[in-house]
Amino acid sequence: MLGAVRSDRARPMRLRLPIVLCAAALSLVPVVAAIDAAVPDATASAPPAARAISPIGPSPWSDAWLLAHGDTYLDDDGANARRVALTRSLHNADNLYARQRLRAYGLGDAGWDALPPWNPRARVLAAGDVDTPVADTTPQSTDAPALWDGIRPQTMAQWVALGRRVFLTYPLRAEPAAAHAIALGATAAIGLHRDADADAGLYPGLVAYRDIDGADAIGITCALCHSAVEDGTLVLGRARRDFDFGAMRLAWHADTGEPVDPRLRARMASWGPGRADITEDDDADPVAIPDLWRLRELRHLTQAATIVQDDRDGAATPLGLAIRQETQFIHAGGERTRPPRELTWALTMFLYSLEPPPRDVPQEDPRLDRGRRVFDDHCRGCHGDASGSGAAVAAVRVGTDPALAQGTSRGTGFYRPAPLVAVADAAPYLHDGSVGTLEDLFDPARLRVGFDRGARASGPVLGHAYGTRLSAHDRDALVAWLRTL
Amino acid sequence: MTRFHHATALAAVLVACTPLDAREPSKPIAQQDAGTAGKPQPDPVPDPTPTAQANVAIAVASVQLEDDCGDPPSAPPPASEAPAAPARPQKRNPSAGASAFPGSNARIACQQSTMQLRFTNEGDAAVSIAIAAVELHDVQSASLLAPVPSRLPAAFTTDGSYQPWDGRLAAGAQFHASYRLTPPSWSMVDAKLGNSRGRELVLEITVEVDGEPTTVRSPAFVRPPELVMPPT
Repeated sequence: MLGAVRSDRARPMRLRLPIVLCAAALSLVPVVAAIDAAVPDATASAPPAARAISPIGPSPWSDAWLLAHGDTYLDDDGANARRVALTRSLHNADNLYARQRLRAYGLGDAGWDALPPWNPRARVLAAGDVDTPVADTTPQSTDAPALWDGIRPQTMAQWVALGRRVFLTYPLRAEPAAAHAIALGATAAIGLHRDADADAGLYPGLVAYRDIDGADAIGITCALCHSAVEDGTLVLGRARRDFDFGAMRLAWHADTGEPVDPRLRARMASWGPGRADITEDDDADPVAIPDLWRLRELRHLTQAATIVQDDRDGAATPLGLAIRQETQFIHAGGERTRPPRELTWALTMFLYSLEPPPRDVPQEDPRLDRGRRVFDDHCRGCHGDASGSGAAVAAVRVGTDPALAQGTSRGTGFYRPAPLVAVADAAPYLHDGSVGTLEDLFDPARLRVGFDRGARASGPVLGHAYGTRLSAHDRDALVAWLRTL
Repeated sequence: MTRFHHATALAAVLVACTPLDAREPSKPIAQQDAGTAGKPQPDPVPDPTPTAQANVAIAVASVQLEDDCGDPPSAPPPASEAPAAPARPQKRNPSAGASAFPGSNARIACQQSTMQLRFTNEGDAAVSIAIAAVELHDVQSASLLAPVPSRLPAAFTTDGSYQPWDGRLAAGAQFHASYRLTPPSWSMVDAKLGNSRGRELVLEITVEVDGEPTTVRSPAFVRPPELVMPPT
């Protein structure tokens, strides 16, 4: 439900609703009600439900609960717990994402568990790397210390600190196209802006490192897509919506003469800033890079609900995200090494710690009460969780571009209702970033021929018609209220 | 670009007792990986007497059948000979990206085919490891489709990289090894199968431990769709 308070987490309560509205919503969403009522909540009016997610131990998704799961994940050398968690976390065991992992992960004495753990020597890019030709400075990466000192953190704060380092520094893979852009001074054209935060490096998300074949390289990290500079401050977890990954790759192909399939070229050119297609099929199904706020409140991970994190029926585990990160590093790195599990667990704890930066929210707007009621009546059925997300919805029901949900790579047939945390700052909207503003999202003109304000192309943007039949007054109120979340 | 990832789930215990006559070219060093700290170091001098007690567990960690990108130079060029970074041009310079960064000259569109195996010597004597053959088979017809030559054995070392490996494995040691593969001609494979995409395939890897061959078989895998995005 919107406004539920997990036991020992401190976070802004912008999504909190009056108790009476919460109670009404809970009556409409009994499953959510049962789960959230099981979590201590000083403001909830409903009595605790008989069933709880976890019968004993810390409250689900509390820091203590996460740390307890960490022991399970980290010390699971026999792979039993990780294998079970992998299997249970896969929404659709038949897509490519699932089959690839079921073939190789959590097999104990074989498969990816038998790869060597790689603790990279990597460092963030410094001013000298770009003020002088990068080729002259990349060998300095050999002097970088190992990312991790080998000592397992003990507290959540220690895990988060290590995870932040992984987020910024652990190379997913070499990225010659990024190095190319730096060398040519062409970073601004693709949305890579210099940042003065020495901790994150001059280009957060780009690192110099010694690769697993012993060569020096420029690599990309999580922060490339999932950090942004706002008002001169680096915000980790924010989608980098001005980063044009496709343009970066195409520039490299154009300049080097390296061949690229015309169909791939067309697809990469179609992405535009803030979108990318990282799926492993031949479908054209790019997604808008998402913000990473309050991930522990989500039932599913990825827009296509590929990974089940908390089915609200007793199967809640952070191992799904940890395994997602671990296998992403393995696959992106060519499946020749694996990250130490301490590093992927640390990254997972860091991701669970991410909150949107505080911002000024109008509190006296007379439209807000009306907007909140409109939300309750028309939106809460799907967007009813604390994050504003909810249970996955069949793609045919949502009606948006079905390519991702029905794709062979990560498809499940479903889409995850978009989380609404700081939704005002999350444009463009829908999973593929095809709607530019909240106003357009609810504008009935969006669904008609002649609509020319699509974020990606002219013409109607179909699907998610919810709210488009509201009166103009109610739409205005709804948008005003959403901007407070 | 073809991309062909799969990982096998196979471990075998081999007993070595016969001479090796199809050995891969030896490489200069055999370093111990991080997981073997405190265990006996590899014997720098090959033991000419294979022991019947040799006992090596083999785990196939992963296989990638993609492209063949050529081999790296045996040693990096002196710094003075390193390609210069391009000046910041008004017009972009073809090949600038490939030449500017020594470690990034692996082409985006080319993914080197490799296989990774883990060897654990549970015996009481050093042994020699060699890959005698790698073959691609069709599961449905149980037919041999093509050989997949391997080369350049390397072992993962404590400095966090794969380095050339001479195949020597000390008693009690565990090595994570990587081999470059030459993928088959997929047009020839398709000529046999009609269309290899969507077919279940396996690799059979013949490993020789002190000359004693044993074949390990990968689980089935399926070629991915033809047009996939470069990995991120």
